[in-house]
Amino acid sequence: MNGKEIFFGLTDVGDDLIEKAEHGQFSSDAKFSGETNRIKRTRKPLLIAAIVALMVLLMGCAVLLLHLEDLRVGEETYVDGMRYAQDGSKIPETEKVRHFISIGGAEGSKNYQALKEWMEFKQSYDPDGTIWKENSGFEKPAQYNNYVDAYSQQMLDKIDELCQKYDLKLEGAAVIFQGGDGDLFAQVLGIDSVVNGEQYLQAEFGGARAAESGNFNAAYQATLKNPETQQEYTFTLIYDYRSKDCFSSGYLMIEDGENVEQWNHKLPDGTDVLIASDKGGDAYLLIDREDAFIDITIRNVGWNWDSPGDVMSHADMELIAESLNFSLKPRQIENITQLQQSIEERYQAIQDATEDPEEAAQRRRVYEENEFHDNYGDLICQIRDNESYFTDHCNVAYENFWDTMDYTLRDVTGDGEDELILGRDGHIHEIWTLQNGRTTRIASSYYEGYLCEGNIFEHYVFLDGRPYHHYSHIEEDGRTHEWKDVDYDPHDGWVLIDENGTNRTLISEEQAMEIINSYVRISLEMESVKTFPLS
Amino acid sequence: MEDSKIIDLFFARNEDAIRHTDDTYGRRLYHLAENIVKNGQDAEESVSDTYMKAWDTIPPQRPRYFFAYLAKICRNFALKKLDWKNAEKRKAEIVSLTEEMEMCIPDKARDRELEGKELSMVLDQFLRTLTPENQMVFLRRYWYADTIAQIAARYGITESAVLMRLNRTRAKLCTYLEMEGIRV
Repeated sequence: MNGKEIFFGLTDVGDDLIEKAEHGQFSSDAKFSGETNRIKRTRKPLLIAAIVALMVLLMGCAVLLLHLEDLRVGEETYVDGMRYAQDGSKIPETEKVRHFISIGGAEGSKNYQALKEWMEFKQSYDPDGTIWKENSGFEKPAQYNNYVDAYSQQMLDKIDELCQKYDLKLEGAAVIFQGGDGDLFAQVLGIDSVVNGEQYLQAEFGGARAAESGNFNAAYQATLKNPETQQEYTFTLIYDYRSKDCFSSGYLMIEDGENVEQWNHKLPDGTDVLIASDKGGDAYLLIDREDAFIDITIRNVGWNWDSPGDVMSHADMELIAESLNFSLKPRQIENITQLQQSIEERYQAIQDATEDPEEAAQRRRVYEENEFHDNYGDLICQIRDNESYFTDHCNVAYENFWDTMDYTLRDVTGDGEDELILGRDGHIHEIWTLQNGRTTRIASSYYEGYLCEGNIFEHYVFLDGRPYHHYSHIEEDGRTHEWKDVDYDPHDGWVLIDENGTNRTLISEEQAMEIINSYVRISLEMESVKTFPLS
Repeated sequence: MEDSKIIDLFFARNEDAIRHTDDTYGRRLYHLAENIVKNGQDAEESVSDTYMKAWDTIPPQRPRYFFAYLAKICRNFALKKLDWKNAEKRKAEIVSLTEEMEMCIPDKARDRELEGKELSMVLDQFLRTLTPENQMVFLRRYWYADTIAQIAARYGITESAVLMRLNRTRAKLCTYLEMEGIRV
């Protein structure tokens, strides 16, 4: 079985599940499941001191240090569709260049040259994909498993040829660790934590792939706390280690490679790190050691791609670099069969663990204690006094609730009773009603929510140059019905999804604006929750 | 037009059935196919092939969930048209998705051959162990091949929340497959 087979196998899951994924929406208490991730994303200006320090660093070190240009093994052009800026202006369709970056070594090294030859070979070997189609069932010997882009014996022969030519070894059979196997992973490879202490950066192991050679690629859920700015970010961090003794066919692909920002940073121990930050919100830390090449990918540094103030500063990325351990020297995995057995035992332990019904009941109790009240004042007190529950389980927008959240009371459902509307900066984050005598959430938006005329709730999201408007009608019973989406997709243009999601139509920009303008947002006069008359 | 009326047209062998299917679902099927093949022509062909397949199979079949019925056919055609070699070369999204799925496979299951239908059944059973929200997020990612940003926007949650749900669901799937491997 392989990943592709699972992907294919999903095709025939139940029709009801597929329909639900197409039409369904999250229920108002969906986040009760405790799956919400806590994210702090606040704007901050770049510190002048950091800019000055960076300029000095660049001026002092520009010539001798590693640059992406030294690592580029190929490129290709692609078209990035038209997008919008937040002010509504258009960013026209542009042709961009995608760069392929060696993560084995810099130009001139045998690892770089082997990778370049491999990529050139692949381009000319099977241009129309005929061999690939003929070899769909091709099974590689285990020692080639890490060469995911090889699919024929000739390609394996080419790998052997490159290894011989450049005196490189195969990476060897690979084994996969799942989240929870972090200790075993470190023990098997004989490595310390990827983090140097956890003062500023914490990293929770999420899974890894390791080869017999000791090469590995590990994913972490990381949190950075910058003590100077009090900024906190959560993101995915991928730590990729490649020994220079081995031939590795992997490479980094950087979108819009010509607009990548890069600079060098010297760590306290003298290690030079190349830091690169692309426009998509990803960043890369590259370390060219004598014996190994390490690349770190920092995913989702910022997803609001045209708003650099939301993205990490140089100082934040440098703090990550300084917090990571680049001295790791994983040992070879001597007995991979034994390792697989260890991992199986781990899975067996997970399987044997039974769900504790008392634990589930306790979670339910916590949910009810926090969210069920017989008046809005008690609810506000509860959010004030137990903010972390509400940010973790309801809406991240509840952060700094007492100091920053505003409220107003308004009959949204039309039943003659007021609902509690909570929001800030002119938009709504949550609407609560009293249903059967207890507080119940009826609408929620982490991004921007608006109340429109006619008891319509608009959930507005602007991500990656794409505006998205979701409209739903709030009924007297507090439920929402008859939703409609108007959103922009760089590939399709403007799209209208109506009749509760059963009809998707491409529309012109004028038509989209006409629909959007037909929903008139109501200006709400809100005041601080501190002024709410608490009993 | 309502699904039942469109299906009636198929049963009456009235070619308007295709037109109404296209009016109602064409764009969404195209979007699904395009997510997979990333190529307008192949996506169009996948949708056209879907209509022909629907024409050939309705009747005798009368699908209860008409969109899901069409979408499954369309997804199959799109996956068949996908040039995996070039997709891998481009490190396309679809390759990332299969690699993410690869991470879900416990090692002992790697060598085990499952019949396609058996695997689908196992996956169906697994999905029904999840909360509705996690089902939807998982299927938007791995069935409809939506991006993380699209899923976040669709359900009004953050991208990190999407990633976390996917990470946890993949870990659960790994455990589930392991259990299946032991049981069968």
